[in-house]
Amino acid sequence: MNNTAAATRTSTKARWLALLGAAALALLIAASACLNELTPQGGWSAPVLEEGFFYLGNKDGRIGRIEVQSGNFDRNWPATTNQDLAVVSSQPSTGFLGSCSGVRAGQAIYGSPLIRDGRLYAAGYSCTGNDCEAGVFAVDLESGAPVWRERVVHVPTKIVGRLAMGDDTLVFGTSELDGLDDPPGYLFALDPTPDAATDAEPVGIRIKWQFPTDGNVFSAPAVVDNVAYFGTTGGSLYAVDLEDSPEYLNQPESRLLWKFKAEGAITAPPLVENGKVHFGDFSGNFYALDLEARNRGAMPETSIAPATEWKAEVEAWVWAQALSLNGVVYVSTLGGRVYALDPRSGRSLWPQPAVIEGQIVAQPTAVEHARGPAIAVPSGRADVYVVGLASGDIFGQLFTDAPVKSSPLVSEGFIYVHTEDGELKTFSAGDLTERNCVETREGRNCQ
Amino acid sequence: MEFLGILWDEVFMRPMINSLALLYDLLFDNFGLSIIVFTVLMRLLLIPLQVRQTRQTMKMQELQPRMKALQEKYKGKSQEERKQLSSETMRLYREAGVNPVGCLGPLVIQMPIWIALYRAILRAVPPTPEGLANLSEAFYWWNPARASVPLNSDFAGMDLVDFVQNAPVPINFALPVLVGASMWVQQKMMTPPSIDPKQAQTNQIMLWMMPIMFGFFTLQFPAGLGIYILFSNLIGVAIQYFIGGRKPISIFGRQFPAQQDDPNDVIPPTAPEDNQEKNDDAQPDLRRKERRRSNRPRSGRTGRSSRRRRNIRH
Repeated sequence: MNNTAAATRTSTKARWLALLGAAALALLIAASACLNELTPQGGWSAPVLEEGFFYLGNKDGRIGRIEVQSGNFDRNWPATTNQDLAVVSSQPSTGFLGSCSGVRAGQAIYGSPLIRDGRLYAAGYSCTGNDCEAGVFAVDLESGAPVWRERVVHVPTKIVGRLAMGDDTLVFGTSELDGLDDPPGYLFALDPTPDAATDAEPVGIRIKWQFPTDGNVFSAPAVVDNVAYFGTTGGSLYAVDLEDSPEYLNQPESRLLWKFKAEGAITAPPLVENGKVHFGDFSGNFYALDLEARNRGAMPETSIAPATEWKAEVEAWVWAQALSLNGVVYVSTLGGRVYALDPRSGRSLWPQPAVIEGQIVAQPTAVEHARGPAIAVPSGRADVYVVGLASGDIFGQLFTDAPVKSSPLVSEGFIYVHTEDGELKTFSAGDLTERNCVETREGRNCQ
Repeated sequence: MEFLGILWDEVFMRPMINSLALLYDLLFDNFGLSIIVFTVLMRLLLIPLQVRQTRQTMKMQELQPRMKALQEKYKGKSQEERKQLSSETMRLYREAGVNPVGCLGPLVIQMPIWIALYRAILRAVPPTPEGLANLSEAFYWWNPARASVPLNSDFAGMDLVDFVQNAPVPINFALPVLVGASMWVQQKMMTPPSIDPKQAQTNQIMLWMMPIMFGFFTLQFPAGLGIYILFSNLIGVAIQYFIGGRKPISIFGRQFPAQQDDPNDVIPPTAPEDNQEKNDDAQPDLRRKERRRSNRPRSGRTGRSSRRRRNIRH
């Protein structure tokens, strides 16, 4: 029996190899918890121009300030270095097998900073598994010092869309709280005034109310006349009253003015203009709802009024906010197409949609090109495409070598682009050549 | 490298994501059911492979006496005798149409499926905005489930995208245990018996190590993948039971499934339970011959076993 047959040995070896293979596979799967799919990356924050400086959320979960004139990163502005303003600390905890599932990885800022009355408001979040923690903060624009006593308001959720301001209320959409699915999202309202929190009640008092929704609120609220319009991944568009009225006391649900049920999830921020609210969804539809009729409560939740409202088909999901320019609504899709629609009828004004490479996640920006008026369309694959408004022709490209998921900023003949990998590039609007590039985490010039 | 990525996406990821989403759409927006039905479909696709493997295992069993005879014949330790034994064994395998590593087929085939499914689950129910936006590129234009995104990943009190270790108690313990137990049963049914003590020892190690290892690693898998592996094992056990001739499996001395007692089938015990189990593994051919001689129905064999247990108790 000592003479084990070769074939038997082969079989034994094969079994051991299979065991090793299975172990390697399992480790591979376990280790791939570090995959990007699980970690919010951010880098979608568009630069905001205010008093000679750009402000944007960088990939470290902080706000960077860059001087427009020199293109230099302002290292003296505290918000760029103050760890307190980071959304959460990145303390790694040793997870099972040391995998990334136990690490609170990434502090992602997706929304552009909101600047009002000399203050900057921003939010970001990070997650460990399904447990996420978001932070909302406000800093003085000049000094970069925290405005709120508690510095950061922490909410156990995700905040993706940018913040918006009502008359006396800072609002933002969230996902579910504490990883619990019911309800799956909220519109949060904060008191933005510095003295809202006291020494006795520094935490929680700033939160005025939270309005429950039927899905995650990734869509940034559009606030018009102190009413917030926002969509949910549950497929609903909400109109919520932001008034500080006693009738809403302890009844945030009663703030609902009306709701519209679309055919797919809504992540696109609505565009409210000329008495209409425009938005697209994941079913490949783009809608224009009549605010007056909706505010009167004359319309059912699930249908549109053919006389005053319309619905147009686009070929893919809509994530970006539509752009209204010279009486035309420009709709961008994740399929990389741009449509020019008549805001009255939804009819397409171009013979064919403009087609670019990659997804369009952020709203295009109007730009004046040598060949005529155009829009700068960011591509989720790479580059920014300059599309002529007359017929949708592509005039040229701004080569970024990295995905762009934020809206370009156009100012005084230059186009500023924040790439997903954390660089702020400056291009000439005239010849589309790159003029400057700064890395938004360290402030170095790009290599 | 980019080409490989595209190939991987087109061959594995997109079909899987679309299948999962389509099933979700058809199965009342339930991602758990979608994964389970997907598992059934995958196992049905792999049935020919499993049938082939089972046949190989059975042929290996039939060859055991002849192999034993060969080993007896060349039991010397000389180089020449070893060579002879090796070539004779290979000839035996060739004649019988047996591939000694053929029984690993389903396991090997399942590995890329597990990896792809892991990625597909995370991509179908992405936890980040980037993932959700990227999901649009994964869908086929004709798939009506595009409008159902985001898919609801809640199932039986757990989030199928979150890691099993984060699931509520007792699911976080129960799922790995069930995965390990079901894998053990499947391994037990699929492992060919061996008369070679070394091989038998290896089999025994495999029988325990794989389930323990996978049970342990399941903690770190998304719950959806844990559900897939669990149901894949259960279906594998069922398929193996039917294509393997409905032979009962002996687990810790008990026969499963329990057999009906035949009042005429009273045979006194001939060996202690454990020895009998070992013999069952080692000498299937002799058993089959005995069965043929006695012309008993197959179910009688396990009835005998349970009767024997009763006799022992008495």
